[in-house]
Amino acid sequence: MLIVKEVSKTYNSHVVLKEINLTLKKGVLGVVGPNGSGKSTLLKMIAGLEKPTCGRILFRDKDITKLSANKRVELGIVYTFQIPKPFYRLTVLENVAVGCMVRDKKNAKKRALRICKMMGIEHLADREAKVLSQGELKLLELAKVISTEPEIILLDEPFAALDKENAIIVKEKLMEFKRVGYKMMVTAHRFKILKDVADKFIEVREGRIRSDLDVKS
Amino acid sequence: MVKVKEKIELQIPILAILLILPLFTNFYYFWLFTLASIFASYTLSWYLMEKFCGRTSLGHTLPFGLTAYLSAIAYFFNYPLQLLPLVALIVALLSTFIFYITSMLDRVKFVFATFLYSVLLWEIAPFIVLKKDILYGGEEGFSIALIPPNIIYILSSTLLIAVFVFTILLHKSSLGLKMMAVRDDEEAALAIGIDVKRIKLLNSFISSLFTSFAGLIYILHFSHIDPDVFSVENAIFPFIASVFAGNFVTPVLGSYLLIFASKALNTISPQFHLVLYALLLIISPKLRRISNAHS
Amino acid sequence: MEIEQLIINFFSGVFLAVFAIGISTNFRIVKFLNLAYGSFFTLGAYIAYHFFVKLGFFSLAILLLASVFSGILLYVLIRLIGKGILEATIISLGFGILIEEILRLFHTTGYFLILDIPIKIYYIFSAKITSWELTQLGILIIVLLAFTLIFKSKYGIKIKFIEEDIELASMYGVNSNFYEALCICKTSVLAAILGFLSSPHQALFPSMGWSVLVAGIIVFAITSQLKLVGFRHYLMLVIVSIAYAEIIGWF
Repeated sequence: MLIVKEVSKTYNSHVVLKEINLTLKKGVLGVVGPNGSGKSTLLKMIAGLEKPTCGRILFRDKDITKLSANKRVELGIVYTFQIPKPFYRLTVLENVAVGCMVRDKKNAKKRALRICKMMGIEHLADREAKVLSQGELKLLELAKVISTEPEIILLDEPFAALDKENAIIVKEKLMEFKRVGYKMMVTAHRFKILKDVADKFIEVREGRIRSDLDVKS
Repeated sequence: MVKVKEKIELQIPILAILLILPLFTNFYYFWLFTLASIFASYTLSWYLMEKFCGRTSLGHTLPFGLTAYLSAIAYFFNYPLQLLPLVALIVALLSTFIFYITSMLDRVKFVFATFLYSVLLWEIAPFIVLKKDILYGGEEGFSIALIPPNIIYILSSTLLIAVFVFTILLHKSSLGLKMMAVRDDEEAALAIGIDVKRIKLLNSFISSLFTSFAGLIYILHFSHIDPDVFSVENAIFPFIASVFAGNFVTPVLGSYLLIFASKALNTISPQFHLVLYALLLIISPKLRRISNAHS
Repeated sequence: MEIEQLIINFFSGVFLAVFAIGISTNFRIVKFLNLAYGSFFTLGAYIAYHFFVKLGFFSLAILLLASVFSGILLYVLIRLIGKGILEATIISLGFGILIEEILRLFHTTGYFLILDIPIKIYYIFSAKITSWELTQLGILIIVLLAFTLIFKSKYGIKIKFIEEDIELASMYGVNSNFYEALCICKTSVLAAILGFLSSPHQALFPSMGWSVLVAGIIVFAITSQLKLVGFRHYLMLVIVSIAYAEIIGWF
């Protein structure tokens, strides 16, 4: 279980997030809000890529607020970037293998190949990441995330800059992850984008969680 | 993966030829090949940092020259030659710390900062003066015992083989893959579970260690060291020698070519080879792009 | 004694300030660290050595020609070959070494050269100050005045725009190529003039510019941390240079 308790973030006296409280027990939590509302900052703080100004983050009853990002990945919390950040000069297979090494160094490349097949990018395995299209990069990003065998996946606007076709592919993958049992926090601008994926929604507006909505209501 | 293996199988014979050839030459070329192998080790050690962590250092004279200098000073104070590898290790640790701290800067500032280290050492070294019966050091530098050239050849060849084999093994290993991930994107590497700080520290140590030993063999080869070991020429040498890098033997080949070209050009006028270095530096961005496109 | 040392260090700081202004302008406008800057300084010193005795102050015309030509050549090389800050810096390093080696090749008979001309000395609180040190103070004042006028004029906003984001400035119609070329030429002339003025006061050798370059880069790096814009940055550069010279001089 992930608990965010009274977490705030301030940049140069500008308050981005104020006293955020949320809990993720199971399923998919959709985080919506306008540009600059602090959605990405919230996810990055949970991932350990940003430090909260105050507050605590608990995972499996353990305080992970001061834990580094790579240690959180070992615990099972992993983050995907809004704009994909592949390792450009490595091949697709190597990109995925890097994540596999978190759990099992010896069989990393074998597992990486299996994950590439699962994500439908095994035909790109020997290509350098720098030649991939936007849609392929998104799938690679998801493959990297799965390779770490996470418990919680933090997806920062997974549909950003994707055409309709690729957005459908990514959505299908997220539905698969949901079926398999991964817990996820997914950000987007609007409810409509996440309505089929998320079980529950929160809206972040002006640095606060404005509402806690059940998608079915 | 098969392509990488094939490439390595081609590289090993080239290295073997470079190491065996001196045995069939006269004394001068034997000496020159040995010098080239020392600089090849220096370049390959530098290349370990550039290829695996994406950090271009113009300050590898720090471990290289400082080891040579401190070894000479240690010998001056009657330390036995057998203890000099310990000096190399200590300098390697010091360099590791300095490179690691500097790697907190972005890549561009890293280049500038390491260049500053080189030039600062070059400026400070002439002020290192020690007194026994007379004054030693300064612009003249320090001397060390004369070691038979055969032993230097064995030491330099062993070091070059060690660095080369290590580089290949690192490239195939999980550690090497993590280093290259950090090279490509530090934030993404952190987000995927890589301990970026540890990787950078390890990379700095490995590069510094091999460079320090290259510096030790350098002073054993010349039996003398002066402040010019920290010169801009030595600082830029590995960068120029690697300008055509694609695999691991090209920096080695580049070093050999540069050393031989330098000696040939210096027959025209002393230090004339620096004109070649300067011209290569100027066109290096273009050459690197061409070589990257081909590889 | 202490006041004397303060005054001597002050003038060292003034020299460093003029030098660092050139490095800073190159970095902020042309977006690279000009490692050939020390070699322009050396070039100026050698021009003084060869031409000052025969031509007097007419040798400044040769200085201007040589430094502008070198500056334009460097700019052309950077534009043709380099992409980005790192490549441009590496090219400038090569260019600087090339200048140094050409000077070394032309002076194989002697490494250290001395320009033996009479030097006027002035006394300020019993500290010996040479005429060239007072001249460089004058140069610093002129440079700062020039910056004041430029930043208050219509060109000032264009320069600030270029300093902030050169690509965006170009997209909005600022002729960034012109400003870049002008900047490199201006700074190479400035460095050469400094070398010219300092030549009677030190031994000349091809690598004499490196230590000055390093000091200039350190001062610039310290000032950059304050993230000031426009004229305030250059004023702070002067203050940091003088403070740096005072501290180093004290040791």
